[in-house]
Amino acid sequence: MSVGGDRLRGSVGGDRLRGSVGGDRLRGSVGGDRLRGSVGGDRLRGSVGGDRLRGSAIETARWRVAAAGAALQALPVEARAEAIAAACTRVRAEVQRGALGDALAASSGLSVEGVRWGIESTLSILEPNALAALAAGVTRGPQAPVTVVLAGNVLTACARPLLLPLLAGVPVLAKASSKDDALARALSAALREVDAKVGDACEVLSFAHGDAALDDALVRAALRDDGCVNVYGSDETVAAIEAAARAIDPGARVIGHGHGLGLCYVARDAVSEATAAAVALDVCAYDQRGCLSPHAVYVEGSAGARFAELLHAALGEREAEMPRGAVPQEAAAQQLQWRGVAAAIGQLHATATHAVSYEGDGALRPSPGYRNVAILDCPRGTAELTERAHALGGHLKALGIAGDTDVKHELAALAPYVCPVSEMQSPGLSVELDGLPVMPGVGVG
Amino acid sequence: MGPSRAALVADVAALIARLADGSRDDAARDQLLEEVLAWQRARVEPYGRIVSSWEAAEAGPSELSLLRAPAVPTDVFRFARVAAHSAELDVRVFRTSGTTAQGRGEHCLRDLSLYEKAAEAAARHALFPDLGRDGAMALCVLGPRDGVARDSSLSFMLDRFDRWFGQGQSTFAWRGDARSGELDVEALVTALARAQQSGEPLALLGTSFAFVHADDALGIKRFSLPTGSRLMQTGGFKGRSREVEPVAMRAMLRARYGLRDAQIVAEYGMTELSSQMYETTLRDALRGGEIGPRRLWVPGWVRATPVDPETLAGVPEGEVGILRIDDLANLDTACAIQTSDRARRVGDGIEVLGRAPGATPRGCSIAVDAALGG
Repeated sequence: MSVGGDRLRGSVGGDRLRGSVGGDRLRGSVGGDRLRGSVGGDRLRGSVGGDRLRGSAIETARWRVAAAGAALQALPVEARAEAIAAACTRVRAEVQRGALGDALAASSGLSVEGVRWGIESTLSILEPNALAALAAGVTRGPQAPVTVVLAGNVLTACARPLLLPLLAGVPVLAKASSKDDALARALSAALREVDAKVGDACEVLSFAHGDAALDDALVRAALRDDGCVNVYGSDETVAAIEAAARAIDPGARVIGHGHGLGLCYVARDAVSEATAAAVALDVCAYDQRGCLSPHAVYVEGSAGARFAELLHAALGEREAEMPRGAVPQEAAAQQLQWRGVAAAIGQLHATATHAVSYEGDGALRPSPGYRNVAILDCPRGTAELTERAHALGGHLKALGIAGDTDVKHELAALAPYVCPVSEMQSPGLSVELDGLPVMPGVGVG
Repeated sequence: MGPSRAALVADVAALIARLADGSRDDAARDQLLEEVLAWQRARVEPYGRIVSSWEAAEAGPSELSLLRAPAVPTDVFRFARVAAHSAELDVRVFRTSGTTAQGRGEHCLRDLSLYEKAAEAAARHALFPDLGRDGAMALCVLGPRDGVARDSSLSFMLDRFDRWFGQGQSTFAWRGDARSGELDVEALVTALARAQQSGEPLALLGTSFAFVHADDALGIKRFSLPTGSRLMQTGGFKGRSREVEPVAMRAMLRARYGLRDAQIVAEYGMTELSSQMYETTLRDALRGGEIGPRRLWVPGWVRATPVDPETLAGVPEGEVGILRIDDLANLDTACAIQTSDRARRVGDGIEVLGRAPGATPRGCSIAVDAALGG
């Protein structure tokens, strides 16, 4: 313990600094019955109407998807792929028509245009042939349901964890944040509508982060019959679920997908308006809230100042097409700090909806997200970037590159996902995000 | 040309002295703030850069009021020297807690006189209003002396409290150095027992986590401190002890030390500031007035404004904003400080609601900060 060695910054005696979410309630649902939900024609199951979700409802939901597993497995892989693709098409259409797009914008905080971009870029690639090709590489026998704890920071982050196990014939029990479950529920509902044999093998439950009793019930249900849990979210969430699982079974299979960030690298010869436009898309997608989003752009040599101006202009143009969504007050407070430091120690190019800082060859300062990105010179090029990236360890999840083939080759192993700039937020179907198999926890890939 | 530093020091000192009784003259405060901010803009490089950047993007200098321009975010103190003077002139450097890659923020002071004037005036008004000019009482500090923790503004202030309000006789219930030392429970118990037996009031002063550690260490011991006793708690927990909600914390303190709720006063202070704010409960109770909702008294030489973090405009009374503090006693560094604390105006005071919780990307940032060596 240490007292008085430093002044605790800006806090009032006795004040509890951490926010907490309590009293979470499952959204409109009735135990054991099927309802048509308010968003996207979803039907909600496995919960108790008006009351707090109970552990028994989780157990029931898990039992239901397990029971649906045989019918799912009996379907040819092509039929499963067709059903998933058809469900995605329905959701895309509903988003384009408006109501679901508006609902997703409201729940995610993205602009409607941002929602549409995210839905299109994620769901359009889930088409029958691509899905069938992906499933062809997966051979497995009957398996207990996969349980997934979904992240809430990126609107479409639920799509793969929810849909790809179904493609492999494995039922899915998904836990979504009660604040951000609209797309997961819309996909689940669409699956039931296009093919009940697929849809019945997928359940989405909602409860708030940090409910230890429900987390415990979820993990207990998940681990039955040698099942496993995939956890997407913060490092704290991953650690909490892991701890709950290990307390039940020291050998429990928990696959964590925790915090991370992306970086961009722009080779000297690639400094251009076109590259800036491509990087701007990576920054604007999901309002830079994802673990693949670039926090900083390293520019080879000393062209960072020029690239900062180009990116500033490109972000302004992108804003016109895909406006930034709402910024929560806590993020705006962090943005204020981040921009202030940028102005104090570097050059800040800012508008109300984006900011680009140029800080020479200074240290990486993680961005608060919401379209605030740093440009840093990288005088020694790829060798220097490699050193800097290694300091991030497993947190570096994506690297967008603008450069020639040699540059791409040199940096190919620097992050689990390495791609050309503009593609950071739209990884292909076969990309092994997090360095894990495309369908983590699903049989033998 | 503008005013000289010496003239500004004198003006700020005079204002503090004039408003030390709790009176207000916000027009005079704001006028002096504009002068000092303009003086700092020309001398404190990071502040000058922030204002120039804002002018270029948003405003233009023609209608510039520096009270509407951005303040210096607290994070800047971690990345840049924020001072109007060179490092050779520093007489003291206070440092923030260090948990991030970029290290600890530094508040570099050229002269401690304004800090002392502000700290004494605020504490005398809100924490020791019943002592009178030359009065004193027994103090027990749950922390190290200034000499042990040279870079701690809190230790500095509490050491001065010993001089101003404790006649140099205070107990510092602490063993060892600032970082690896620990609470001296024996000394604390002795001070508590002495007060109980003598009937002389005691002021207990410390961080929230120190009080939690004390509570854990004291076991079944309970005390009933004499009438006139008080307790000042400051700071959050920062993972240094279990966390206790404010209401539960006060209940715990009441039960442990036999105090009434009004005798427990929270202090708001930051390394980057020279002035402090205190809850009004003790003063209100001593004056026999209605205590009202818990809120911080803002000294007359300080401007505390919850702002919209996107527009920087003050938010209406009752709405939650992010707290900006303009502290005239920060003459040699930056008067205008932008915190990350959520706050709202409550009547004549401020309620601080704690640090804005990190959004998801911020969670990534914290993890990355740690990975980078924090």
